[in-house]
This record gives sequence, C-alpha cells and structure tokens, in this order.
Amino acid sequence: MKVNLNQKGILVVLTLIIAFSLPYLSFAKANPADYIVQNLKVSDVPEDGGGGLIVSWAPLPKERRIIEYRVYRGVNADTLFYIGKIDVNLKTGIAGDSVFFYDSGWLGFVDLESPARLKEEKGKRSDRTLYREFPRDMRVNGPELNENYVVLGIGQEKEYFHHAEKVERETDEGESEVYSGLRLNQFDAMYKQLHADKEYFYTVVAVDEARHYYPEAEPASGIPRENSPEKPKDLMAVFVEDANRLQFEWKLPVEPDPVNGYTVWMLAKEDEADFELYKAEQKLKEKNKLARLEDSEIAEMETVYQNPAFQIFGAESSVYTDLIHGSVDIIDGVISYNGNDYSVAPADLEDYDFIFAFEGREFNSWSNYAEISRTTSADLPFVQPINENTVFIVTDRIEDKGDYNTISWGKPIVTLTNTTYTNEKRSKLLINYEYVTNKEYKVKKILFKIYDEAGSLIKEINEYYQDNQITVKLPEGADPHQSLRVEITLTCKPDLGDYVILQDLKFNDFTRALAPTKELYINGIDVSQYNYYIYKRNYTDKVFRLSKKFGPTQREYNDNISHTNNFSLLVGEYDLEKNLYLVNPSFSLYREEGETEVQRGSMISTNIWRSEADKQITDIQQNIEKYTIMADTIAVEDKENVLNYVEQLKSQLAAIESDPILAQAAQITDDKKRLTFLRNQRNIAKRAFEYRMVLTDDKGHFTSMDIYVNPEGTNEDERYAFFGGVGTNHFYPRSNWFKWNMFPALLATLLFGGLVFVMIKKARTTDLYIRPIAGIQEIDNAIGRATEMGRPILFVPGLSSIGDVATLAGLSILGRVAKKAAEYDTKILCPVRDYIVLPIAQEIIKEAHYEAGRPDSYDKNSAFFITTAQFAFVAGVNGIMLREKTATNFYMGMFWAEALIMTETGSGTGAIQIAGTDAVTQIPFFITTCDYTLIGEELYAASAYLAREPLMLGTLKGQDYLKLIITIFIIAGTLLSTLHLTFLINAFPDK
Amino acid sequence: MKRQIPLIIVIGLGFLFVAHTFIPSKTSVDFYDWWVSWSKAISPFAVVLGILSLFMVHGTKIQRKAPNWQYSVVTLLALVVTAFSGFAWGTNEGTPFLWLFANVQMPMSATMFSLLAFYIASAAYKAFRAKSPQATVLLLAAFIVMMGQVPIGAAISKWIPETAQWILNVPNLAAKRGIATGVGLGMTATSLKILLGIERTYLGSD
Repeated sequence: MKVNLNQKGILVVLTLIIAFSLPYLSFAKANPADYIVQNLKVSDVPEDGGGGLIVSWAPLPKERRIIEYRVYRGVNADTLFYIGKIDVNLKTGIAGDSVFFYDSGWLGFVDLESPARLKEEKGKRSDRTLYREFPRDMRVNGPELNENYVVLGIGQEKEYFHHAEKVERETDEGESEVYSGLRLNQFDAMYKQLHADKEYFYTVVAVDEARHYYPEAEPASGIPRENSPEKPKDLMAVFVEDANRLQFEWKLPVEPDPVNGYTVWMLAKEDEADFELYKAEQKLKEKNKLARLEDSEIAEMETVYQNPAFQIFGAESSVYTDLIHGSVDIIDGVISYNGNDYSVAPADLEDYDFIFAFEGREFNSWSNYAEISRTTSADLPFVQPINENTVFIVTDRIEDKGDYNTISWGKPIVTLTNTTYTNEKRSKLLINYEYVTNKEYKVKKILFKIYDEAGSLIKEINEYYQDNQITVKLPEGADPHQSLRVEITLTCKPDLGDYVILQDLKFNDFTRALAPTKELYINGIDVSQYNYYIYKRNYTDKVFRLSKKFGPTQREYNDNISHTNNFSLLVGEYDLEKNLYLVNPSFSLYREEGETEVQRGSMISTNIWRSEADKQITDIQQNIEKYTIMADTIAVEDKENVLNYVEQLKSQLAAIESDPILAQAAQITDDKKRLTFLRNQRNIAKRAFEYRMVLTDDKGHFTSMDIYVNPEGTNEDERYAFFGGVGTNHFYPRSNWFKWNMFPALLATLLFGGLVFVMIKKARTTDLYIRPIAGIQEIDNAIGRATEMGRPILFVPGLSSIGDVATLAGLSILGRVAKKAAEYDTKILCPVRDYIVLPIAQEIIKEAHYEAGRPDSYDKNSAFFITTAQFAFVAGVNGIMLREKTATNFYMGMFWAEALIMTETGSGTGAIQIAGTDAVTQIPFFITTCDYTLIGEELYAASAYLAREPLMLGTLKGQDYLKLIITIFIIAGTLLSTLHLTFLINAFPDK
Repeated sequence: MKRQIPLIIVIGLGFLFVAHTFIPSKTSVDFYDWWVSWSKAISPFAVVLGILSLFMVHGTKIQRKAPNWQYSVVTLLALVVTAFSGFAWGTNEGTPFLWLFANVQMPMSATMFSLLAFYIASAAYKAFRAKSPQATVLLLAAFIVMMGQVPIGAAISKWIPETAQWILNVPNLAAKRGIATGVGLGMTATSLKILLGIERTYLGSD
C-alpha cells in the first residue's frame, strides 16, 4: 500500500496520541481499601522541649507501588492540612515495620510560594476534609497564629525597621496596643512549631506511582510534652594540684532545646544512696507531672528527699551557647558558687563524686559519677605560642566583604600522610606530606632528615618548593620493611627558633607499605592527642560559646560572621482588614559591660515607633508614682513586694535614661535615620566577637588560653563609640576594598591593555604581520563553494550561552560569514541551542544582509531555535545537514560530546567543514573530521583576522606580546626554581 | 542611538564587573548579586522568543507544505503536549510530564549519545592512518596510551603503562596548557575588545 504524505502525517499524529496516553492506560484499577495506611500512631518526641511529635504507621507492601506517604495535621480530626511527605523508593520499598515522620522543630508554614487559596486534597474520602498546604489566604492562616501554632516570621531587617506599618488596637481592657504590621511578601518565610500540651491530629495518605491518592487512615492524635533533657555522657573531672583548680569537660546534648544550663555538682560518697533516692523521686515526679497533665484528678506528688549534692559550677545554656569546658578554683579550701561557700580540702577530693547535669526547666538529667583525677600544670597540654607575645591572634581577614575574622595559632606544622615504593626493588620511597601554616609565618623551605631503624641518617632533602612529596632512595640492600624516622625542620619568616618535628614510618602488614604513625612530636612532645577548641562571644552573649573544634595539625581558622540582614520575630496577631501580620515593634539593644553597670548580655529595649519609645518611659514613670502611692495604702505584709517592684522600675528607668545609645538616638530627629542608627548599633553588638581557645586531650586535661587582646588595638571609628572593646578584644570584620592576591592579575590586565593601545597605534602606521591561519583563509572559499553548488551554509555558534566568550567569538565570525553569504546571495542556516543567543544571531544576520546591500534576501528564519537538550539539538542539526544538503558547515564556539556526532555527519554529507573551539577535549575530534580547525586562541583571532582593521589587529598583536611575556616568566620561574630561588613563583598567588 | 545605548550599557557595566573582580567589599558584592538576580529575569522572556521561533519556522513549513512538513507537525505537537502535561498535572514523579521525559526524551537522548561510540571508532580510523610522519607519531602515541589503559599492556611490559602515563602527563599536558594559555589570553582579548567597543559584531554590526 502506498502511503501519501498526508496519510503519513496522520499516522505519526496517531502514534503520538497513543504514546502520550500510555501513562494512564498502563495502570490497572486498584481497590482503594487495600491502600489505606494501617497502625497509625502519634507519640511524643522524648527528651525534647515540648515541640515535637512522632507520627508512625505500617508501610504498605512493595507490590502496591507506593511512591509517597503524605502526612496531614490539624487541631481537630475533621480538618487536616498537608505538612510533609515521606518518599519511597519503588525498587526497595520501605525496610522495617514502621515509617516515621518527625513533626518537630520549625517547619514551613506560609511563604510566597504557598498556594493563594485553600485547596482540597485530591482523591475520594469520607466526610473528613483534607487540605493541601496552608495557603497565603489570611482568612485561613491567620486564625492558626498563636492559637494553634507558634509562628516565627523571618525576613529582611530593612522591612521590619523601615517598611512596617503602625497598627493600633484596643485590648479587652480598653488599652491601646501598638504593633508593627507586615505584609506576607515582606517576610522571606514563616515557620511554625507545635504548642506544648496541645492536642494535634494526624492522618496519612498513600500515593502510588500513577499519582492516585488513596483514602486517608483514621486520624490519630498526640500531645507534645516538655521532657527533662537527655542523660549526659560521662563527665571528666581533673584536679590541677599546683593551681588548686578543678577542671571539667563534658559532651554537648544532641537535643539542646530542653537544656537550660550546664551544671557540675559534688556529692560526698557516703551520700550516694540518698542521691539515688532523690534521683528516683525526681523521675517519679516527672511522670506524675505528665500524668497530671493527662488527668487533672491525679494529685501532685509530695517531695520527700532533698538533693544531697551541692552545685559548684553552672553556666547558662541555649541553642547558641555551647560550652564543654569549665573550671572551679579552690581558694583556701573553699569553693564558692552562687553566694554559697563549701569547705573542700583538696586532699579529700577522692571522697567526693562529681556529677554533671543538664539543667532542665523543671527536672535535671544527671551523668554517672565521675572520680577526680589529679595532675599538675606541667602535665597539662603545652600550648606552643604563635610568637613571644601571645599564644594566638585574631585579625580581620583581608580581601573579603567583611564577613570573616581570622584566628591563627601555633607554628607551622608538617605531617607525613602516605608512602609508596615506586620501583619493584622497593628501594625508592615516595613520601607524601602536608604542611599547614598561618598568616604569621611564611614557609621558605622544609628540611627532611630520614633515619633508618638503627638511627643512621639515610637522606637529607631540602624542599625549597613544597610540592607535598619527597622521594627517598634507600641504601643498597636496605630492608624495605624497616621503620624509618623523619625529622623535619622548617625555615620560615620570621624565624621559628628551636622547632623540630618528628614522625615515624612503620611497616603496616595489612597494606604492605610503610605508614606514618599517629604520634607526632614537636620538640619531643607528642601533640597528636590534643585538640583545639575555639570559643567566642559577642556583646549579646553572657558566656562564651563553642565555635569550632580542630585537630592538632590545624593552624588557622576563618570564622564566618555573616552580615545580619534578617530578622526573626514571633507572629501572633493579624489584621484581616489591612492584610497585615502583626509583630512586636519593640526590639533589644546590647552594650558592653562597664560604665553604666549594664551587665554583659543584658539588653535594653526600645521601639520602632518613637512615640511608643517615649510612652514606655512615661508608663514606667507613671507606674513608679502609682505604686509608690499604693505602698503607703496597702497592708504591711504586701508593702515590701510593692516597694521592690518600684525599685525594679526605677532601675529600669535609670538604665533607659542613662543608656548612651538611646540618648543619641533620641537626638536624631529624622525617624529613618534614628532607626538606621539603632540598627547599626545592634549589628555591631551582634557581629563584634571576642575569642578564647582551649587545648585539650578531651579527658579534662586542658589548657585554657586567655581572651585575645590586641596590644595595638584602638578604635578611632565613631561607629563603635559605644563599644570600647572593638579593635582591642572584640573583633568586628571590616569590608575591604582590594583583593591583594589579585594584584598580579590586575597588573597583567593593565599591561595587556597598555600593549593593546601601543599595538593599535602601531597598526595604524605599519602593516603588522599576522601568521596565516589556514582555517580562516579558507572561509571565503568555503562560502564560494556553497554558492557554486547552490546549497545553503550551516553555521552552528556553539552550544553554550551568551555568557561564554567562545559564543561571542563564534557570533563575531557569524557576522563576517553572513555578510559574505549575503553578498553571494547564498542561504545561511543558523540553528541555536540557547534562546538568548537566538535574537542576537538573528540581528547579526539581518545587519549583515543590510550591510551587504541585500536586505531583500534576508530570511528572518535563518537563525532559529531548536531545543536546549544537548542530544536533541544534535539530532536536529544532523537532520538539517541531511535534508538541506548543506555545502559548507561552520562550527564556531563551545562544544561538548555532541561535536563528533555533528561533524562526522557533516563529513558524511560531503560538506566542507570549518570548526573552531576552545574546548580542549573536542579539538582532536574536529581536527579528525573537519577540513580546517581553529585551535583555541585562533577562534578568538578569527574575527580580527577577517576584519583586518588596525583596532582588531592591534589587539591580536598585543595578545601575542603578552603571551611572549608569560612564556618568559614561565621559563624564568622554572630556571630559578631549579636553582632553589623561589621568590618569583612565590610572587604569584596559588589560585 | 540603537547602537549607542546598548554599547554604553555593555561598556559601563562591563568595567564595573571587572572592578568587582578586584574589589571584595560588601557594596561591590551586593551590587553584583543584585545584577545577577536581574539577569535571571531575562531568561523567561528569552524562552518566549525561542518558542516563537520554533512556531514561526515550523508553522511556515507546514503552511507552505514544504518537503517533510510532517516532521514539523510532530515537533509542534510534541512541544504542545509536553508543555500541556506539565502545566496540567505538574512535574512531580508519576505525572505524564515525567513519564514522557523518562520514556520518550531520555531514551532518545541516550540513543543519540550512544552513537558517539561508533563515531569515535570511525574518527579514530581516520586519524590513526599513518599517512605522514606526524600521523605516524599520533598513531604510535595513541597505541601506547590505549595499551597503557588495559591490563594486557602491563602484562606485555611494565614500560607501556608508564610510557602511557608519561605521554599523558608531559607532552599531552604541556600541549593542553599551551592551548589553555592561548585560550585564556584570547578570552581576555575578546572581553577587552567588547569592553572597549572595538568588537561590536554581537550588536549586529562591526
């Protein structure tokens, strides 16, 4: 049967319709009841702060081909919202009897990507309503705020400070309350957390691979409860005898939320039994508390036992204040803590147990008993000072946008990492090493001395250029299994003094090679067991928080202090009429401790609205007056409480009135400037850090280094006027204006620019010689050939985007080729892969036709888009070559794996092919299959070569001269390095 | 003005971005990020241009009943159906869009890619014919490198893998670095030409 073209088209269309329907036809009908999730349970997350529930259910059999379980939550069983899903791998299914979904922490609530309106979930179900995510619609999400969830809004700080709307509302008591109103688009996102002690309902819907939503499971409910913290891991307790100091080291909790503080307690061993009774009673009391929450008729348990242990150390904890080291001094046989004195003779410390506790909001969690271990200061980890003045230094990292402080410590260190015998005789040993330094020291050379097992020197190697490997030739007949000792000394600027590193190489039976030992000796001390801990705090922190832990071979750390541009505030109210979410307009300020006795970390609050800030002062004054009068009229037993409250108000007022930041802010008349000033002061308080370090063996033997104080630190900048420590002990990262490691690049760019200008000038008067490039010379002939044959020209400007310089170079050549083609009245086809390149290619071809005086022959479809998919594009281009029988093919630009497929097809059609690319991996393919190839830089030179204008030729010539200079530098660097003169190569940055 | 305004934008912003390379300050970084976020907004508009181009080229072919116009019907139909399935049912797992992607586009792309193996064999045959002294050197080098990659090479002589590695690490790497240096300079030169307004072909004229 002969099929004509129209019938062929209909057949293709029918085939496509069937193909597109296959996804739906291929899935068989299933019984929905078999897909309902079973055994749905909701339980409280143990040892958390009361904001988490665990939803669990039995997974459906793998044969059901479930691809996801969708979880829904609500405050009643009839209305549930989608909150998240568990994806299932179709091939493996779910291993285990249960699937768990943790609904804890801050999960997404609403943002700009949330659906605009409330939408019901797909699938058929009972009279219960399942909805998709919370929508942006305030009528739906507004009532959930505060009532059902704790909602946190996060957004740009400038929105909160400068673009909020003042909203006044009247409370039930008839008082006016002021809020800051923000629209949803002024938040980056809102997150929600569960309320403790509130009941939540959950259900789960199974979805199969055909996206069928099956009926939901019968909802189950749970109530998140606040628990006591997890049990701490063992405490390390050490007594430093000569310093009369107790040192403690502990581990951080996995779940920090319920932990209020880190505490250390002492317990006389004879009281252990009483303490166990106390602990047991506390556990029962916690259970009793939870039971009472479930059933109000259960009576509160009476306290019988008192804690026989006494607290000797305590530090406040929060999510942001991690601490794992603490110390307590015993002065004249007395330990003082929190106003209490405990007599403890150092000689009797063994009579006590030491217990660490995570302090919960109501109940503590206790570690096992720890025995004291004794040591002396001499046996504590030795801290290698960075110089004669200090053990570590803190500086602003140069060449950044002001978001890093650099902490440097110790002296440069070299460690052996691996060894390999490089010959069969096992007489040549390649040793890999690493060296680490910091900004204080520049390593000039490293001397390796290798000793054999008998202690005889085998080889001395001076590494002038540190390439992280040395090769050692063992003496004839030497045992390749013998241990070797490597002694390393460094020549640095400034001089290191006596500083010798030792590391051994021992034969490993398993790997059958010499392996570096873990032990690493610096001046005879094994440093491999010690770790460095960096602590830091800003003006908002009361205690230092752990920032980072490093091994013994680290010497520098760049501490990221990001620019604080975000706010995070609780969102509890909303104004439906104005479509605003309401947040507290009051915000905190922090200052250094000092003159005004404002304690570190304590804060003083003010308000976004000036009138409210003033009202706050008036309210305090009125309350002082009111309660002072009240104190004279009430009963004597209540008088003391009222007077105490008055005193509190007075000190609060004094703090506000004496605060210099608020005083200065009050003088600024412009509201916007006032808020900008306050915002900046807040940022300084948050971003200026002081640092201390601890070197420890992680077993309580640690040496604590003092807070780093810059001896030359002064701060003349008036921005930090209220923070005297900035520049001396607090380090505020500054934004820098020049990347000095880019200086050679800048110099080379300027040199290049200069050379180009000189050469352009020369090209205007002299005929500059340009090396003939066959590929470019043949372009005219190739176009002529297409003209003679009456066939089109194909021009592919690469597959890359317009941001790629190779594409720009390709488009430049397209302009020349299109102009010539227009002159010869030859059709040009330019398929493009990037849709931004498309209009540019169209414009270039159009202009080329106009310039050639042939606007009539311009076809707007000469340049056309095929697809962005790499191999689909190739298929399209190959099809064009075969159908249109192009006589000449140009490939100019960036190409990847598709290059060969295109050019080989073109070669098969008999077209003359000219290619040009800077893709090193594709050049061989082009050379093999094309008639002419522009290699690398020739692609960029082509435009200048074709134009033959002084401007273009001058640039080309300048490029050649710069290449000559680079070659001279490469040769000079190689020669000088060979002569151990490394100043030239060190003058260039590594990257 | 049609040429001058784009040229002023290119030159002005071009120099600003060159300066950004050397200036790490927050102002410079924020300015750069701000511009980058704007440049992302161009893409959706350009997509429209690409799709319009597809419709124009293939629409004209169908209208004129040009040779093989049926392929143009398939192209446009595939475009419409795929886009529709994405808009109607989303792009998640299990949707028709993803089904089409996994069962139509991926196998076809893989088919095209797999052709590369045959083309490489054909290209290798052309390249490795000892027609000239240079081609003979190429042939020998290719033979050693290929033998060095397979166990039989090491079995014949331990020098084969070592020589293969030497060829890759020394002459091959030297040539690659030479090309890379030239490419680097060429890119800088082209960028400089564009920044100084010497090269204006990308604007549609020289």
